[in-house]
Amino acid sequence: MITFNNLSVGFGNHSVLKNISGHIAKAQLVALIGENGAGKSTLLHALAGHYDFKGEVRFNNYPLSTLSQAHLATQRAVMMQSNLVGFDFSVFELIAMGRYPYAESLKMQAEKVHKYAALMDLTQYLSRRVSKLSGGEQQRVHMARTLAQLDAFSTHTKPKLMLLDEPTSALDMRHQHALLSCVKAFVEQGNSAIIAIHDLNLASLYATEAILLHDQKVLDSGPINTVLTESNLQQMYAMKLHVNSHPYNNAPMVFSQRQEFS
Amino acid sequence: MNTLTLSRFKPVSITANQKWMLLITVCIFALALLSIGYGPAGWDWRLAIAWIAPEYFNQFDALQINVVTQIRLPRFVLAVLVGLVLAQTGAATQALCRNPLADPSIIGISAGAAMVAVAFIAFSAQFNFNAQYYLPYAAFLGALLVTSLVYLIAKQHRQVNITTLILVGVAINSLSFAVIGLLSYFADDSALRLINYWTMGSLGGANWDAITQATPLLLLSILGLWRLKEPMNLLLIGESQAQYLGVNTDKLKLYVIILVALGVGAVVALTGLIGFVGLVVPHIARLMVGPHLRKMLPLCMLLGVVVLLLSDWLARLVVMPAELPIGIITALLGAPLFIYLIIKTKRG
Repeated sequence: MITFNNLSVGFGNHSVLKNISGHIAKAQLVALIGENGAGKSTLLHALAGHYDFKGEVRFNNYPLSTLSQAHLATQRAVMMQSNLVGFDFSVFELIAMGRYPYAESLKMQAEKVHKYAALMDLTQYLSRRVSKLSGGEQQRVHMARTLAQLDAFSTHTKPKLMLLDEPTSALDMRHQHALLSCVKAFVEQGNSAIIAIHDLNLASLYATEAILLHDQKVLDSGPINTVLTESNLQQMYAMKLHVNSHPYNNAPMVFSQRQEFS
Repeated sequence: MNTLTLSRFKPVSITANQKWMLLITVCIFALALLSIGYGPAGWDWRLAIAWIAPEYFNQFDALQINVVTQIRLPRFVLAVLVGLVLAQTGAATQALCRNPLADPSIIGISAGAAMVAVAFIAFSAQFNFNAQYYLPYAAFLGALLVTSLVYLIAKQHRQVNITTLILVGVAINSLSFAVIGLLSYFADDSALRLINYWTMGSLGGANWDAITQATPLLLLSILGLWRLKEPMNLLLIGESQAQYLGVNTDKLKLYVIILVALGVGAVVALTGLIGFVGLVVPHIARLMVGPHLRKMLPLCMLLGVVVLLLSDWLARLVVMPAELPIGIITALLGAPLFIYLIIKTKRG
């Protein structure tokens, strides 16, 4: 699906990612885990083709630089963290922007918008201005736009890729699970998704794989239950924590300890 | 034969957008009657239509009809074109800068156009050629030159830094006005009058020749920006977002800059500096139908025509038979309204 080799990204003299490599296959839901500033967003932007980088990124076996933005827009969608909207669009208009890559009638566009708005529990908000919504509701609007861009739940032949930067950070528990189960269903159709996420237990419940970013490098990667180990996590966060398994499905669950202020 | 089914007649429902469009179109027609019908040479709304078939309007003499066709009509057409272009380039610049307070006059495009055009006028006297004829092209070159310069300085890491863009625009503005001031020392009397009329802005110089010369530039700008409204709309939610949705943003920004420079350059050549239209009109249009350019742009452009016609009519009315520079009227109408809008949005 997407492969990166010796990928380095820096801004001026400041290096963010150094010579990292990895491969994301079809039907994988990858959790991208790391501290603040570890380079999770930078990696997502680079994989999306936005930043200048050294090294190689191949998307469906083609070097990223050979693919046009217009083509990429139909194959991968990106939901970014700082989705500040300076102009006050309506929820409908913002979701409809996801359909820009396709030449389709406004009626068809409206059908898709309604379909993916319903999945994100937004049907009753469609005519509202985005600025009048709460942070979590806005996050769901951007997710609906991302789903609409790939037409995530329709039959398509080529596998597609979703890059999500902390999509659940402002959501309540119910909507966190609603969003991740939706991504999971998308991936199970043969697509892939990479999600930068801080909530390790949530990641553990839904992701199939994980990439741990630490100190400009990949600390560990692979199936999530082999990556979320006490030693990996203690090294990454430099604090004591415990990994246990979930009572119902054996997924690794991470417990931190109360710290004394010093 | 089929029976007539009444269900084919759906109830007519009018969206907010269509309601505003209708209202504004009615306003434009009313203002057309005022603009063409009223003036020092005759004060009768029927003058606005008499020129079409003078034989049916015996009350007007040939001179009056002539005034209408040679002075008022070109002035009306110019107001319409300038209104369309200023409103549209304002909206386009706001998309380019992703800032609802941006305007071609803010990032230095208008002042750059004026600077080169004034230099052109000042030196044309020395070299004895007719500056008026090439003025739109000189102003376009000035606009393009300044915009490219500003754009190149502001461009870093494959992206245009908006803060730098605006700051460089501010610097270019002051530089342009300094150069215009300096050049006016070297200008002769007639050139000085032209320069003076220009920095204030006026539609008084309208004639068919000038309009015909500038029309290709104006139409290119209007039609070009119109075609780009969908991708420009995506710029409003951020450049990287637009890229991820398939827009070639570097190319788009380049086109927008050239088309804005074309429109603004031609307008500055024809009328001088008319401020606030590109700033206030898109703002009002957004308050009516929201920021989506597919809905907002047509409304914004028609509203630009309304503002231009109204301001020009007032400019002619207030101190009749003399007239005020239209730039004064647009600033007097625009600035307080704009301040009100800012306060209202802040509270809302």
